[in-house]
Amino acid sequence: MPAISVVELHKSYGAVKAVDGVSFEVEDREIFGILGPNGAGKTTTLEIIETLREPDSGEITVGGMDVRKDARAIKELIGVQLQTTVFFDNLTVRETVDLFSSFYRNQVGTESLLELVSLEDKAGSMLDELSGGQHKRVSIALALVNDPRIVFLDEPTTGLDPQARRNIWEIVEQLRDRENTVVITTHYIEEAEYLCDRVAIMDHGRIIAMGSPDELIDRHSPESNISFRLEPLLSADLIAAIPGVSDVRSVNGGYEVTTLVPQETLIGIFKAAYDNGSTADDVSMKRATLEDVFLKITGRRIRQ
Amino acid sequence: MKRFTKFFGASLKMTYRDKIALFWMFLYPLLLMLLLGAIFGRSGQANINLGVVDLDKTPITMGVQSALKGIKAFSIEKGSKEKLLQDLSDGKLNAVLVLDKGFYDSVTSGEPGKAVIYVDQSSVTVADITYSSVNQVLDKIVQGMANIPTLVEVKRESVVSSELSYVDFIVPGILAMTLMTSGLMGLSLEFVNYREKGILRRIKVSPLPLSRFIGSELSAALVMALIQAAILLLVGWLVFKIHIRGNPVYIVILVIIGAASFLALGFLISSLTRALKTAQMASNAIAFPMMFLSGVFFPLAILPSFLATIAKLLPLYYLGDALREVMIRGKDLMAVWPDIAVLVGMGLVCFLVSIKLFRWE
Repeated sequence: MPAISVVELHKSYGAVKAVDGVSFEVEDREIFGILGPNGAGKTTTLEIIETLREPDSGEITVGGMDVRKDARAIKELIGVQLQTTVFFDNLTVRETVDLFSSFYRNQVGTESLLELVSLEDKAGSMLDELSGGQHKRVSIALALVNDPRIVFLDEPTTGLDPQARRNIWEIVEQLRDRENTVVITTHYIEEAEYLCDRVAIMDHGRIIAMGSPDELIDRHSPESNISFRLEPLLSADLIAAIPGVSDVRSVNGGYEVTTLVPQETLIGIFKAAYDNGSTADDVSMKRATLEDVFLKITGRRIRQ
Repeated sequence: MKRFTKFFGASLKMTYRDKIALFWMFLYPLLLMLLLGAIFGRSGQANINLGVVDLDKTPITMGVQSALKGIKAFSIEKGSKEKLLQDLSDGKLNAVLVLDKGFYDSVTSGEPGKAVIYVDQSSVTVADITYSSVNQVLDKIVQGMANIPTLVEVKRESVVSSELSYVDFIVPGILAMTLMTSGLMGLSLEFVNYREKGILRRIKVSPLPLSRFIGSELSAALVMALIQAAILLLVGWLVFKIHIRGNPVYIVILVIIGAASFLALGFLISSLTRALKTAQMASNAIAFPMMFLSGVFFPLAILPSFLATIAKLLPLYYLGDALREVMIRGKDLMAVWPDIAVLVGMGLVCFLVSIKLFRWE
């Protein structure tokens, strides 16, 4: 039995179809990402699974229980980090975690949670004394107070600097080690690629692609791009004749080419340079990313 | 139970750490009481500047004058009627007592003595207190001297009873006002704030039932109300020696009923408004007129009748009335059952409607 099952979920706000027929399953101990631009319907989907919102139609079960009938039992089973991370004024970090723990039947110790999110030395600080990243870490700690089987993280790194984002990623990896099931929404490509076992890419309320990041890239955007400089520069015709090259673009002092067979193309580039008395330099190869997958399917970038 | 105590404790802690809330909850009512108390004198009687005109000049009127002089609360000014009346209208005097010609003759022949008290009606409360104090004093003096029953004609009805001083009157009023403002401004604004910040949504996604959440918040607010009442009454007693004659259990019950019904009214505001700003404006729009029109600072009897009618439409009037009757006049709860019925009724209606309209976001 999957940890989460969503079948044909629909949710509209007036004329706006926020979620328009979404179906997916999340397996136990899986880290599942929902990737998409702002307004794609990620948060609405998540909040319906979390029992925060009522679906218009669709079958949604969490841990085998129906979100409409067993909301109370589901709430004991899940841990939720909402996008907004503002808490009570005038409570310390420890008191906040303590207070939220008291809402659940199953409770893990406050101290071990603070350790997990590396906030031991901030335990006595008021919430308004924390940085944005520390705030997010408190909200993740609150999502774990009941040792939940399934953890929902709604854009946990939005607005954070790279270092703070790294810290959050480390926490998610610890959740993987603890065998939690994690559902995470994000509009950061690297985050989805780095953290998630499987990703559902959403746009306009629909899932447009789903699978592991590798699968998605192989399926939708299997090409690699290789860029290099030549001294002296050779003609574009020579480059286009290299095995596997499907597209040649001229860039500052060299070229960028697209290929499905990167190894043959790389050898071809060095060979062409050597044979024609030129030197290839500054060679770099880039595999496609989920951004390219999104671009390929929708014709747009995720963050514009 | 453990969930309840955790939240309850956290609520108390948060209030305790919110210095601005503490000021409005504790210091402001105390300052108000001290200010009003200081203006109207700590003995309970105002320090009254009384002009005395003796047109009779007989032993009995001389006696009245020296007796008045012997009373601490009065400072006596003598002079011609014209001059003293001028001083009265200039605000230098609070009242002028004119002992008419023939006062002695009337008293000795068993008739009421002729005397007129002029008061400055522009400050109604002082005028009332002055009038009734002079009246009572005169009554006693003449009785004592002539050893016969009431002799001085009473032309106006006294609104201040012999032992009920202004401070005694105002302390239950300030207590009522405090419970009202805490109820309207405290919890309701907190709920709106929580909702705006998304804290309510975070609670909604946990298994904590709504009833438990609201229950612990309300209980914490009620405990705060009791502490407010205790501090207010303690200071009133220490500084002004107010006379609390009521049964403490009755007072506690009334404080709880009053606080709960205004909390419910505040809760209703929080369920009807979206933004914190709107909620604040709504609370102010309800609290301020009620503060001034409900007769918590002055007796309704001195208000024009249409204002008195308005006062009786305001729930604060009933809380002030019940507290005053029980605390100062020593009545029991049965004696103020209509007040209690109004407060409980309003509280229940507001509470049920707000639960119905409660929004998490």
